[in-house]
Amino acid sequence: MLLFILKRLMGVVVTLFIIITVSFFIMRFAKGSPFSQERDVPVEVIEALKAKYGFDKPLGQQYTQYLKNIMRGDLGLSVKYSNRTVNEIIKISLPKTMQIGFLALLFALVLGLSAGMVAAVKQNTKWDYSVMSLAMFGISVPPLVSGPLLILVFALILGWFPTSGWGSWKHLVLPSLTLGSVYAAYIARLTRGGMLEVIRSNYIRTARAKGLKEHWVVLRHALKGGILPVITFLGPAVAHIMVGSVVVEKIFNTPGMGPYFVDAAFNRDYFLLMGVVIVYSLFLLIMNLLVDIAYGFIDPRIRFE
Amino acid sequence: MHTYTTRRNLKHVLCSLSLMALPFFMACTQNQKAQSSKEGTALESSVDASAYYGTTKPKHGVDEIWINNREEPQHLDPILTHGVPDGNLAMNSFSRLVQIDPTTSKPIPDLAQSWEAFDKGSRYVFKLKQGLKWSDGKPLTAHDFEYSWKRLIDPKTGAVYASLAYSTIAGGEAFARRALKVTGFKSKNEHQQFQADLKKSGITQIEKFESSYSGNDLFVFFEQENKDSQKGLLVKSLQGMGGLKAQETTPDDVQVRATDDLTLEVSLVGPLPYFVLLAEFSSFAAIPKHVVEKVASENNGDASRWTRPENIVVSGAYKLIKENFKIDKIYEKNPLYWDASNVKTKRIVVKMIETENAVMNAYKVGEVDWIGPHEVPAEQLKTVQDFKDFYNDPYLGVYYYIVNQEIPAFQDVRVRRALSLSIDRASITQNILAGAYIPYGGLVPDGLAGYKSYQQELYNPEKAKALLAEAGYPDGKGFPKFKFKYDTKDIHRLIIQAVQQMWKKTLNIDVEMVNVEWKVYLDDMQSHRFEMSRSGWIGDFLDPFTFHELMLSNSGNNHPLWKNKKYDQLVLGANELSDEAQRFQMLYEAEKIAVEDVARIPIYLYTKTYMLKPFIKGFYKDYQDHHLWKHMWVDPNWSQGQ
Repeated sequence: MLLFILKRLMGVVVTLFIIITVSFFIMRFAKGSPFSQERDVPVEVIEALKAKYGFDKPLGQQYTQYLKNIMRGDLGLSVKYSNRTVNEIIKISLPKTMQIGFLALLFALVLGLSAGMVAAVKQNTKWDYSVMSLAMFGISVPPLVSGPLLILVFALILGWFPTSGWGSWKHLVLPSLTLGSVYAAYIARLTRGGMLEVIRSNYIRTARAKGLKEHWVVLRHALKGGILPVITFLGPAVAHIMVGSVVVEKIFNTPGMGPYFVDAAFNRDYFLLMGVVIVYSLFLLIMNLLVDIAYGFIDPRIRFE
Repeated sequence: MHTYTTRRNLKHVLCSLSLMALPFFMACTQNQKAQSSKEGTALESSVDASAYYGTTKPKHGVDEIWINNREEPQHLDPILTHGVPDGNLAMNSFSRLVQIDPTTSKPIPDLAQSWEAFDKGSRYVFKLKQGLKWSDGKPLTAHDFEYSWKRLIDPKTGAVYASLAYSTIAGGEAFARRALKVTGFKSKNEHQQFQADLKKSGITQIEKFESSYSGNDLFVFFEQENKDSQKGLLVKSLQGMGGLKAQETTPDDVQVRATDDLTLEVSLVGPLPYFVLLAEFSSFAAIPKHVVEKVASENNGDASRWTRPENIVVSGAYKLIKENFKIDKIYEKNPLYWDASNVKTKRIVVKMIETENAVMNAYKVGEVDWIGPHEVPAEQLKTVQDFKDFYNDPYLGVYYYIVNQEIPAFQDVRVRRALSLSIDRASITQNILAGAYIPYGGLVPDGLAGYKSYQQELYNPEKAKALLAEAGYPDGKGFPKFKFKYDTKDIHRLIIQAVQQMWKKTLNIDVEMVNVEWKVYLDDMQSHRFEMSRSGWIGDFLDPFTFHELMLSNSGNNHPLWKNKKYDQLVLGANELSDEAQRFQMLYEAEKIAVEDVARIPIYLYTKTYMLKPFIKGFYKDYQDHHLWKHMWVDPNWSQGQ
């Protein structure tokens, strides 16, 4: 098991290195400069700005300098937010995104797992239909639609929550619900599907035959089978949810990390964009690693492969 | 098995469809409520809450105002600011020599006490008020202005608006563009010979020469390529040549000087009647030298953190107390501002709501009292334009189309006129823009500071057809298919879609729409890599010159490359006239040339739509959409009966 983990960790490092290199160069080949403005900018000013960020050096030298800086944990300067380093920006914004992400995940897991279990256990009854309809609703209505709808109903009409922004627990509720609803729906469907697959198998029938109470059958044995597809799904989903949905954060104007993926690219804010790409990649790679490890624990069959 | 599954899925689909319909029902009933109460307004008394959009009770005390500034600013340092969000924050914290009177739109003293123009307006002397202080108690003097303006021009600072200063202040350009200064001449007459000698030497990439303002020195400007090596060559070649010496320009070459603590003297490149208006621009603020240098010394020469709340020192009405990155900024009244007794509101909370729809929602429930630099989104215009707190004011800007004048087909003025005359501007502003903007046929906003503009016909499809035929493309035959490039924004797309059809219908020509990202668009504009495009210009200061200068042959913003010597002569010549009526007349002649020669194809004059809570007073309409917080206050006695 330990060897398995070590091998995968090496893979993470190598993959991250490739991601950084490819991203670094691709970004620079896009047309457009971080310093261009609607108004003509004097050449000398552009030269001074380029020197400040090191953009006046040859690209290869910039790359090696960047790698050296990353080793020291320095992600560079932002062009757009000229007063702050990328480290500062990520330090300020990532925790906020994670707060929403964590709540969204909690909501998604609680709602999704229970809904999926109910649907699987009460297959083909009205419970199954209503749960799965809700799930289809959740999946097919994107945050771009559900977000504003929630704002309309709960912030504008009922006035229970603020329409946007940050500052109190109230600001967390609507974004988390919006973000979590899609995941809840997926988790419900996956749980149901996974459980249905195992609920007819021999060992479940054995457990029942042995006289085990039904809820034990469901919770202890069937759920374990049902949860595997959820875990596979959760790996990348958690990474994505933790790093922030651009759409949800823009709709609710939350000061999280999500919008930078689009905004930094739009502004050609190279270091900031690289910074968030690195954070996301790290999350993704580590979550996938954890998923693989979790597999090993949950499904003994995999452990012995 | 197959039909069973289909039926089941069908049930799922129907259930989810009905679920999805629920919120829409709620939204519709909400709208209907609004509609019926709007109708009720005419019948009921004026005491009617629904005459206003959303809540009319402030969500905060009377001692503060909540405003939106659209986004986290890029710079809080007034020298570095560019863009509206930056500018709004800078102008409320850092005073300049003058301010604009909100009721007359004329320049009046701010930190200056008075000023005087000499030499037909090529030299200005500003006298500061007595006893001015920075917010930390240190005295504010003319030396701070000299420091700040030189810092604005210094290329190392990296200020985007440096050109506003160095194109107007003598010696500024030489310093900003790192020209070489040649000293040791006995008189200016020697310059001619020297220039001729230089041409014969191996130093070929000289862009231009300029005599210095005072003394007998000569500035030598080099082209961008190989600048440093060329400069080195000149320095070397003059060594040991008896008398003459070449050296780098320094801030001392910039002709702005504090002759004493209260007096600032500025010498300009020539007579510039609008200079006082230019000096109101937020880039011309004074910054606290003692703070900037202290922060720089603590941070390896990097002064950028001097605008953090723990360091910042201001000269204006409000000071930054706290900032929450991308959430809000808290400003409080600066008690040491010279006019603090007239600053009405103690605290301003500046929120940073980035999208228009979000800010409209926030405004509705009272999370902001004013939507700030945002426009009311086009889709909501019809809904909100009847509310009493909706405003649509003229805004100092022109929206126009440009065609690249390096392309042969576009070099024929008849083609350009045909393109312009076949655009039904009234239809566009009425139908696409919900009546928000004003169809326009001139290139300078009419009435700006009293200026009367020259405007062409707004729509004449018959004439357009005839002109195109005259130019050699009867009924569009043989007219090349061009690409119209625009940056990704709904409004641009909507307009060009309509215009594309108008051109097809009237002129029978095909134009392809090409949509590019903002940064790519900027890149293409500045390298003239476009055939047709859209553009716009918001005036920098309240004088028509800010629009005229765009179309000067050597302007860096002259993307379509329309050049006309007579136009240049008139525009630059107008500056020499001290009588405003005469000056405006000359500018009018120039505009006439530009409009008749279709330097640009104007579409509309900008207006600014916004929402403002009725309990906010002291908010004056402003052509540049500058609304200083120091005038604003919350009326605790406002009730809906007013």
